[in-house]
Amino acid sequence: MSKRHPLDELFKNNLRDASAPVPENMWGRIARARQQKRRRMVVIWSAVSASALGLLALFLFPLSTPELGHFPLEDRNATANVFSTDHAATLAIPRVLDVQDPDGQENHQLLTTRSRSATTNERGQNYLEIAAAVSPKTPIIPQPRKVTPNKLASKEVVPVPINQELKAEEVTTVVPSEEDPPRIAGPHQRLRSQIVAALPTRNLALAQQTELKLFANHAPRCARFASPYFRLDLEVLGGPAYAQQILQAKTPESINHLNKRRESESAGVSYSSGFRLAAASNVGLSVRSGVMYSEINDRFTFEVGSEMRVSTLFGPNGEVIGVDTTYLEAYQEQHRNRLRFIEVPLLVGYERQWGKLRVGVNAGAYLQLHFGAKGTIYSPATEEPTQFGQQGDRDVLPIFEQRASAAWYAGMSIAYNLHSRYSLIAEPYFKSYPRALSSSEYDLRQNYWMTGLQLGMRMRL
Amino acid sequence: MTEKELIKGCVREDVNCQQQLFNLYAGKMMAVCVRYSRHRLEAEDMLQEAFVKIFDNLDKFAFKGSFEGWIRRIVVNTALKHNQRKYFTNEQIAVEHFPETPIEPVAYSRLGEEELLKMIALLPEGYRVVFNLYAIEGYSHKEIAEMLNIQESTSRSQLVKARKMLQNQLEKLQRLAV
Repeated sequence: MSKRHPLDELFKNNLRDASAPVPENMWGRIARARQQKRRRMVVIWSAVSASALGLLALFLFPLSTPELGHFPLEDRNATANVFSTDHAATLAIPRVLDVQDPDGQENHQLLTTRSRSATTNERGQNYLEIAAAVSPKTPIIPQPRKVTPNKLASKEVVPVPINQELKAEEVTTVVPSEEDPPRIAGPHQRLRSQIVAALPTRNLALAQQTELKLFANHAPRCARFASPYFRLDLEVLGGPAYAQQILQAKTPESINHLNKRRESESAGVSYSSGFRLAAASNVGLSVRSGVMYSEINDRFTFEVGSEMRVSTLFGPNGEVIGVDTTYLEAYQEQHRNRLRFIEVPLLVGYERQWGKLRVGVNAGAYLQLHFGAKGTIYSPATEEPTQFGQQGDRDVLPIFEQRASAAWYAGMSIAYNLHSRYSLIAEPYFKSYPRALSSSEYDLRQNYWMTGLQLGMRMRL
Repeated sequence: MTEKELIKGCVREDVNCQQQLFNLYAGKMMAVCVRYSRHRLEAEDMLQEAFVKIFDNLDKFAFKGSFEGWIRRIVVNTALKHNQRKYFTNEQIAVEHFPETPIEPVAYSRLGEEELLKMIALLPEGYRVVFNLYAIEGYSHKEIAEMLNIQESTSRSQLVKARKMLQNQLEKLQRLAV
């Protein structure tokens, strides 16, 4: 076993179980830090849960509400089928249309157009045949209407007079020509075709019935058009910011402290994030509200060790044997000062759409839900680094008010439409705290303005 | 109240037990933090962070081994985390030979805690951390290398340099004493 170095022994024996004085406020600081940590965890878990639920909703929502892009497209090689409006209602097939025959005679005829995938399965069977087979008793009711030209009808469409009794065998299907293949409609139709193709062919009746059920349950629905009066959006935003603190001395005596603070503090990277709900009217006016978190970060730089220490050395009998002078090398230390805000924005704005771009301006107030300030500055009394806090905080210099005033906000949002419901947003903004955040008892008046860029996503609800 | 009861009380979030535990170990742990920090403000931050960790993880203490050792390990790790950012690089330095003049144990046997702490505080960051870990906490160079993510040789060289600097300071004291 190697013998330990005498220096190591000396330091170990003297310092291993040494004790140092603990600041009186330490227990309070620990209790506060734990409480803050717990609160932070609650906020984080709430945000994670909300995000997870939001994602789940995003995943499920499009399945139940078809989009404009999913709207079934008409087959240019349209199939003309004649059947009663009752059948159409039962099968939820798009509306029956009136056509004029080539001779110009007004015949009250019913025509419907469907894409091939929607009306005909892989085996070439027509849904309408199945419909007729399932409900053969349904009478055909002639409905005299004003004849209007049908833009959708192609020359291959074969109109059938409606006053002719309909039989399943008489329903005809036009197979599209090879030069002009049918267009496949939305995912609902494709899904149905795949399911139908997978059904057992031996029991055709069962297959047909199942197909009908699917057809009825998952009938192509009309696209969900927006409210004619306003649109509702959810915006999730976040981004970096620059915050400038403005310090003013209240009395001539505090100018030294003001200068000391100005020299020792500089702006760090701030940021803000959160979500907002926006309601925009059809004339472009909008209102916005939500919850935003902002953090203003400053750097406090101070010098450590630039001092001369003189120690008196005593002999074994207590006599003075000399003086030791130690020059401590100066180096700089940085601390982060942090101001946190949880705010509710109340904004009004105006926005306009140009193609895929939607540009708007918003302005209004940010109301405070929570304000927290923590950090280190030079003490006005001792000019030593000291921790600051808010009114009511113990064992710190309470230079800030417990609650902050409202802030004014102005921003310009530019949204680029990615999808019928989703847009990317960029929002440069300017925010100002007009009233001082500092306590009335503090020697300086301290407020802030900040500017930044928020990036995010807008989802149409 | 026994140590075990105190710990169980802390796990139950009993504030009185937590305060008692804090009062029991805060002084010793503050001394550890002072050894690893450059100034008192930093030592206070370290102590606060360490005790938050201690209280948050107290339920993981398995009542095996010394409780003080467990606390000390958390404090040391917290202090290292504070310092880890900038003071070490994976330097590949061979151990430099420093002539070590023998020191009379009598010359420094009467040095108090405060003087020794001051001497340690004057060491550059890297030297101080390695010296603390090796000489006072009793970690091996291999363990130090793993903890600080440095080479073992770096740890050795830092220790030798630290000893050399401390020795110089002691020699200065000896000369004054004569």
